[in-house]
Amino acid sequence: MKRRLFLVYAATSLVAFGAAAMTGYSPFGDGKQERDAYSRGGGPSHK
Amino acid sequence: MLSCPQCGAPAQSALPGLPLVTCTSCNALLMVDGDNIRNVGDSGRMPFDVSPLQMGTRLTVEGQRGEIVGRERWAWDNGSWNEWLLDFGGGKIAWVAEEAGYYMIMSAIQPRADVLKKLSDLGGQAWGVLGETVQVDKVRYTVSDVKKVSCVASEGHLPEPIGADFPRRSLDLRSKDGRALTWQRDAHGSGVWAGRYYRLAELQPAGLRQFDGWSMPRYAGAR
Amino acid sequence: MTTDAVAPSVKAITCPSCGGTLELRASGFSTLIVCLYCGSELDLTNPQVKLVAEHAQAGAELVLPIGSRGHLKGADWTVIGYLERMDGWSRWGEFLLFNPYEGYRWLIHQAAGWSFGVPFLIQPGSPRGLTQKIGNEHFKKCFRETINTVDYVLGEFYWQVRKGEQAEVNGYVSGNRMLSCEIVGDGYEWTMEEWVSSSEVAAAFGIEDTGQYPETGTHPLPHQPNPSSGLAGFMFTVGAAALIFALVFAVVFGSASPRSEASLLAGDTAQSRQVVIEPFTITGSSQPFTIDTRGEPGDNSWLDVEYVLTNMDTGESRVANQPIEYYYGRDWKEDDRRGTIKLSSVPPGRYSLEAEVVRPEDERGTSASFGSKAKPVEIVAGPGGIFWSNLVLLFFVLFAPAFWVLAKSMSFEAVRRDDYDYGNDDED
Repeated sequence: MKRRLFLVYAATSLVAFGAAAMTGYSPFGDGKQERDAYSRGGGPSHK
Repeated sequence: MLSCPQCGAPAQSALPGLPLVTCTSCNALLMVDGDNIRNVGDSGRMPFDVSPLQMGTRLTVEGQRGEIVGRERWAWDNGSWNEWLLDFGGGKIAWVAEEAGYYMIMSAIQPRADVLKKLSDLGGQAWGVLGETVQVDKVRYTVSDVKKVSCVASEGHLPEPIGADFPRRSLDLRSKDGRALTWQRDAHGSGVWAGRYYRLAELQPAGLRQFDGWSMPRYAGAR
Repeated sequence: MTTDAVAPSVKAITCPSCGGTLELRASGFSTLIVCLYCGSELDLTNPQVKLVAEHAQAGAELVLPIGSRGHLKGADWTVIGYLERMDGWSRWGEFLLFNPYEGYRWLIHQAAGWSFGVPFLIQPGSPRGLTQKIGNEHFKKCFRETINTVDYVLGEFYWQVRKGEQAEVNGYVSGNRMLSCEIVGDGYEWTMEEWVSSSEVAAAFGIEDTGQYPETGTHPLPHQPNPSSGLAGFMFTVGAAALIFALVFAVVFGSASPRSEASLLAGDTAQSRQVVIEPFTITGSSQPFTIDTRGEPGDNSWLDVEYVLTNMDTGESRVANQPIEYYYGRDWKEDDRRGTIKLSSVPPGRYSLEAEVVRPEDERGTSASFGSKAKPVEIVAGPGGIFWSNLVLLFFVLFAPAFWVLAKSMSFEAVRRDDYDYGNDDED
């Protein structure tokens, strides 16, 4: 019973993943996308 | 047609190698030799039990089908048990010692003289022999029990005149893998028996006794 | 000459002490019965029932009363005897079951659950060893040898059990089975006990479910199956398979479409800092849009590449920027001269990508210093790409419940091993 439930859960997440992959969707996006994120030479993070 | 010299009831004729029969009506122990029949003792009254075996039950041991033709019931200080006589025909017999669900099927063996001597030495001692080991045919047996037993009653066809109160000394040995060895000494001499434990299902039983309120196991054959 | 007559299975006897009628259910096998009414011990070794000892014991309320019938593990059973044993730590009940064709079985009721015991006639090994081997199965000892004392007896038994009878007991566990050996004097009694769920016992005998660990008891039985371990294994296997499948799927679907390149030398003129790459065509469904940027900002300096991706048909645009930096000191270095931007869900259409490089010199308010060295920037862009973050997300989604179940399984084992004498972590 629990196994079947997990199978359904895993299948659902796989489908969601597949749909995201096929439409190029990412909830985060990789890389900066907003103009506000301009670094404008933020300088080194080294202290 | 033979009849019991004690009560006159019809008596069965002897089977090959089993010269004794018991009278089903007066429990006389009868020695049958052709047409000659004589009373050699009292077979005793067999108490009621719920053994699934009975006269006529057929069992298969290592591919050989046999039929139960006789029984002796033995007792010791703390209990009693059945020894059923399984007749394979042609003079070949085995004893089936019953232990509620387990059946130790024992056939006579002829061990070497030194093994026989060791067994009779051990069997003659009253204590201190538990845990001693004896090797027979590459199998190592450990002494599990030594006791004085006596016959409660016997019935059916029997090889020897053993009736009520017949005494016997017995030594039981077991191997790690479930094999058993028994040494016995009584008024008729001594003997060694070897065999192993079986579950009832392993013996492909047919003609088992039926009990009120219990269904036959699935592995039981019809009569 | 087989008798077809149906034999009675019960023999009535009269208690010589109280006169009560007792039903003997394993005639010929039982050697002792403790009267259900007065607790007197009656010896059945001989057909004449003999009073051994008179007691004034009230019949206890048993979970499975003597005479109860049930169907368990493939056969019918009747409860013929009941014992209570105790060691220094606990107290439990043992029901003796009988079937004329199958013989005896034990149904053991401990605080944490039930076990079904089959008398074992072969002797696997030394009854005091640390392990036992049967076939290829290894049984391990969990507890030190204990001394059990019989504290209560009712019904029929195949030996002359007495209240106060003591046995040294060793138990060996493998999976859901426990091989136990009782040593009384010179005799060994081996029993193979199989864990059985309380609901199975309840269904077999038509009683109320008595429960099992964790509902009852403080520790699981040594041979109680871990309810989570199988599930955890299953979840990890399924999770790993799903993740591999997702990885392959992502690589196949995310394989890059044709990419376009542009390079520029960002110098003092505005034109040298700008480039437009076009057209990109996205067909079918939405796709990610990947922009790889590489540049040489110079020592301890930066560049910023501003991108505008515009749909040439609708005029809709998306913006992004990519910093390119290179800083260092005597013993450190921050090299960010490469970067990748992935824009998600770019709908189908024709696109142009505008890039504009901003140098520190071009910052507002900074006076342009002419003659500074031109900074090379290379851009490779196009539709397609893989969002690795989606895979990471999938990993957490799949494995978080698996780890949760694993933690449950491990805590079950920890509680089980808590009071073990052997194989426990704090053994030393």
